[in-house]
Amino acid sequence: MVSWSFNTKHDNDYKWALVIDLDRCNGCGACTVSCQAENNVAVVGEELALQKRVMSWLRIERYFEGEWPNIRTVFLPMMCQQCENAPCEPVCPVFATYHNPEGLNAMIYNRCIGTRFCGNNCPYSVRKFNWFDYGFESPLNEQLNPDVSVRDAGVMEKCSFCMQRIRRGKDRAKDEGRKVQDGDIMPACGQTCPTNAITFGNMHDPESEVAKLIETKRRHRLLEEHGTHPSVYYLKGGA
Amino acid sequence: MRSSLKDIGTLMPKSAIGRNLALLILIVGGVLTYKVTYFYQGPIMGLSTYTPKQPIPFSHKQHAGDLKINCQYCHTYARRSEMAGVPSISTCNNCHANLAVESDAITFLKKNIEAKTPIEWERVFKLPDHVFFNHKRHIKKEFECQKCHGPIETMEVVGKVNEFKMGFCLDCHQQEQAPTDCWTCHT
Amino acid sequence: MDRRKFLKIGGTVAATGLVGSCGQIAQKVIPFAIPPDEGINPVEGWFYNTACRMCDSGCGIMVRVVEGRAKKVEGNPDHPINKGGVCARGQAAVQQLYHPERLMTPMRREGAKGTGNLVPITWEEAISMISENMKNAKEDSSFIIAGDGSDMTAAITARILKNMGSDNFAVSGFDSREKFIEATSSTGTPKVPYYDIANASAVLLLGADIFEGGASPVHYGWAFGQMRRGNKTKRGQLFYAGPRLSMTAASADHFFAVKQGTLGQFALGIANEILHIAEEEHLLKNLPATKVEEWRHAIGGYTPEETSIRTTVPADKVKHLAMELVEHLPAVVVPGDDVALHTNGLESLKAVEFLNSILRELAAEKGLSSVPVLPKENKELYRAMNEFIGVPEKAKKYSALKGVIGKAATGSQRFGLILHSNPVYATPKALKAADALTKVKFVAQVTNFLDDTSLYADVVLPDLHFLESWSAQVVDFPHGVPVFNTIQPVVNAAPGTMQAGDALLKAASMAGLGVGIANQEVMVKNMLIQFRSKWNGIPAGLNEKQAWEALLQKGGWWADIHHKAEKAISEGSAWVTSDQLKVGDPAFAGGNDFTFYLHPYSTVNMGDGNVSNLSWLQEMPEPMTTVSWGSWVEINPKTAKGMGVANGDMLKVESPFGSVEAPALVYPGIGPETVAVPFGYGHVSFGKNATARGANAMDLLGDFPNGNGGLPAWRAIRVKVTKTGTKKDIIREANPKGEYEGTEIFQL
Repeated sequence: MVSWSFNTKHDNDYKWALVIDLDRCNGCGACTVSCQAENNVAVVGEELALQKRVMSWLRIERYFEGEWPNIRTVFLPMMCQQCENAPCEPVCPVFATYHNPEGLNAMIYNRCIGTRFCGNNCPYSVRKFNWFDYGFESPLNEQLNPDVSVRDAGVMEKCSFCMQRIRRGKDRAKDEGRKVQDGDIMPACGQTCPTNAITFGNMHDPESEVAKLIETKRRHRLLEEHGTHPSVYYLKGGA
Repeated sequence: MRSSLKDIGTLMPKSAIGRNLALLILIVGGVLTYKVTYFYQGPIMGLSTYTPKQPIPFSHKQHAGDLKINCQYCHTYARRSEMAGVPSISTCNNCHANLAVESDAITFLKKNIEAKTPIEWERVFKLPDHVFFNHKRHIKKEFECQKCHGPIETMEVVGKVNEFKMGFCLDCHQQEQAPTDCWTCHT
Repeated sequence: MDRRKFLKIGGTVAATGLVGSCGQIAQKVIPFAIPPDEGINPVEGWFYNTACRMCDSGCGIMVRVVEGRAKKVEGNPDHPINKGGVCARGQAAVQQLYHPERLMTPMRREGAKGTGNLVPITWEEAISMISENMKNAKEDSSFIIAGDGSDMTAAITARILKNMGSDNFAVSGFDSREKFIEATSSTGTPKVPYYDIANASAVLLLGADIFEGGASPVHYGWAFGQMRRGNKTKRGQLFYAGPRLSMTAASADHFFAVKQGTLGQFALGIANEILHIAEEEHLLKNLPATKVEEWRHAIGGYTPEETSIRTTVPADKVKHLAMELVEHLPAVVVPGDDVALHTNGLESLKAVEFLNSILRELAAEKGLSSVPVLPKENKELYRAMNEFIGVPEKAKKYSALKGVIGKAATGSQRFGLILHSNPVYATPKALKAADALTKVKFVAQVTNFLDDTSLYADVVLPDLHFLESWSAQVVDFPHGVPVFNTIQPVVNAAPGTMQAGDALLKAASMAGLGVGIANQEVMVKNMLIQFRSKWNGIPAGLNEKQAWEALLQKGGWWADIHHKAEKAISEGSAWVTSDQLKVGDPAFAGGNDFTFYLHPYSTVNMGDGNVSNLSWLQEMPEPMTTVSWGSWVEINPKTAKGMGVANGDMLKVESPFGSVEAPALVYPGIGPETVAVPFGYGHVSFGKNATARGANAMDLLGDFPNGNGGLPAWRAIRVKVTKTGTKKDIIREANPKGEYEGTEIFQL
């Protein structure tokens, strides 16, 4: 019962998928800071945070159910779902966002002219717009990751499944004359997760951990009824 | 200032032909100004290539051309990294510990070697924002460096002979059937 | 228009055109002065193993360094404490390293203490000032307050202090687990017990917020992940009992709301029920029947109904929980701050240990076991390493901190050293640390940033950041094995800076109080020489240089972990005698007009406030409240409605010891008679991001003990809450609609 790859060809070598085990996620938020460090995500400050303009690519949504004392909580790490049938792709007038052959929704900063239609269309609200040049005060700019662009005002940005790490993983595999093996590549969020709630890998490799996890009964995707076909699978929590 | 702006109207020519001509001159002039100021580094209509003066007058013609030293002897990172890099002073010292030590250039070099300070070269080849180039993959495909960097071995002073417009990259990628996915180069 | 005007306009337009192209300035290409080794990709960079010092858990980290700049912190997957994970604060270490406000030169006070008038001085001046004052401090007139007792600089300063004829050393980290040592030592169980959650089938957390703070949030996070999905055939269950739904409690399968201060009685209620079940099902056969009968008699009063009255947990839930624990063995009960920080804290901790020992016996009976035992030789080794790098045991108690501040307040102290600690901020105002410091003749502070305590220091020494330092750490929390972390510089320090530990060593030897250590790097090397033979894993055949490199590459040394099935009664432990099996009712500070219980707590991103100046952590929403850039007062929705309080209304919270003002946050995870205030905010002076932001919960605390071994009973304080009439914007990430009413995005 492998999920139907809507856009990505079935015989393609790689189709990246992320599996998040909600039974393991304890909401600590390490992944959000790790993503910020890895991807040169700007800090917006208090005033803009009040206007809900925080730039973080990954957020942990926290839902309550019930009333004291019978209260339950769910933590839901939310990042770009890399939808196979992405609502953000057809609406870009300049094709700055498109679906790449490995199943990812690519965001190209050079092309973006800032219409923000894509962000408007995203049902998961994961796209962030650079309203200003936020800047990195010296010497904080020494920490910037050289593999990732620093975005200036006027472009959209979002989670890329740490594309720079995928590229490096493939680069290394190519040097060694082999395909990428399971476990070679891990995005920043998954690498830092203390509980190992996040698993990343190639869905088209039947031996990979993600392929096995996707087949379990607990698997779930968000807003599936909208037909977006996300590449992020959640494993439901709870007994 | 406000009155000056209104007065611009008085500058316009009276006749229709005159007006069209003025418009044409304005447009062409504007485009030229834009190109020259924005792309001043590139070879435009016979203007000179950008050849900045370097702290040491290193001659590729002498080293790479006459002496036929391999590019990767100095630019060692090209085969193992995204960037080709520029040699550190210890590389220069491999030969120049004893070669041509009297010349001004080598004396300056020696001073830096003593102090362990690197030479600050003026950058010639630069890609636009948001573009990431991987030298290693291209070296592995055994492309000549000259394919992109031009006839370096004939240059006394390195000049930017290639603007690295995207069309240049894409032409070769399409020809060689290399990946043309945007995310290959634009992260 | 005339020609002049035309040229003027034309000139402006042309100038604008040129300005627009200014981004195309040519850049320089600067190669390495000393190239990296062959085979290394300088763009990818390389990784150095070191240990994280953002808290005292001692996680092993690998830092990615590109062109001499630290870019990213990752976990060391081989490290037994964090197993490759890194928490949010650890990730923010690089922001701390490159913080614009980092102190780079020593400073000297000018003007009165408390005014914060500091002027820069040279290292020579600073060292000689410190040296002079070290020399002049007579017997018993000097003290040290250190933020962390497990690292090398603390150990070195402890030795210097000894040479100065004093043993007034106190560790100030109030989040430290040392407070459990005194409470549990009499039961004979290992100090700071290790709770093996990874292999447990059922875990009951009694107010223990182990994923947020305390001993090691990352380790327990890893253990939690293992408990859930590490074993192919079982999924561990998590229960949480306490007065507030914390981030840790949010992961529980079942949450039990328990009245403040009654968790010890709750434990006895569960134990009583378990003994009943054991009787019915003929369990606990290996124990002497008289012993079991004795216990039944001692705790027979804690029936489910009785327990329900004391703790407010319904009787059937108490029974059900006991049944779950017996059915899902091995089961572990972890006591936390809600057990320890009450007037009946010591008795309650003992009651929990009793419950744990019964559960261990039940598990052993079935052939299941989960608690790892520290082999004797490892215990010895740990003790020996601790002698090198460690501070006196009594220094880690709250009574030591109180004692040091109290002594300073008498005016008898001539020399005080504050080492990576902020006592003016992070102790209850009622302790009057600021006043005490004004009465000390000479106060030196070692810190990375000017903070609240710097206002009262005579000399402030900047330390190198831990990513630039040579140091080591013997982790105080065995996790079943002793861990020695090496801390090496992953980047070069800026010129003109120096490691504070080395500066203090110099000052000490100048004052004739030298401890025979050249500098910290040499001390780490000496430890290798001393312990190498006992550290298996470093091959004997390596010469000194190779062994040193092997040690640095590994990131330290730790024994291989293996969990052994153990006897039911852990070695050396005595069963809790039955006359100790009673837990008194809790007492609270504050009379009848203090109508609310106060729940002060540390958040996962702010901790005790030493990281509040990092913008990543300020902007990161706190997981349960989702608030960023400011503090709050949590109030139950029904209570809020009754009081006419909405989100953002400024509330005044007043305890018998002090008061604070903060905006209200309607929070469904606390009871109607409780309000919660987080630590970590309300700095008086700590840089742009943290100064005057939020309220300092420490202002509400005071010294409310007793009878529990000198531990502060910080969860036993009651407060009054009043509206001030003003409002403040409260920044929350959560969609207010999605908070209580559920959402269509996700079905639980």
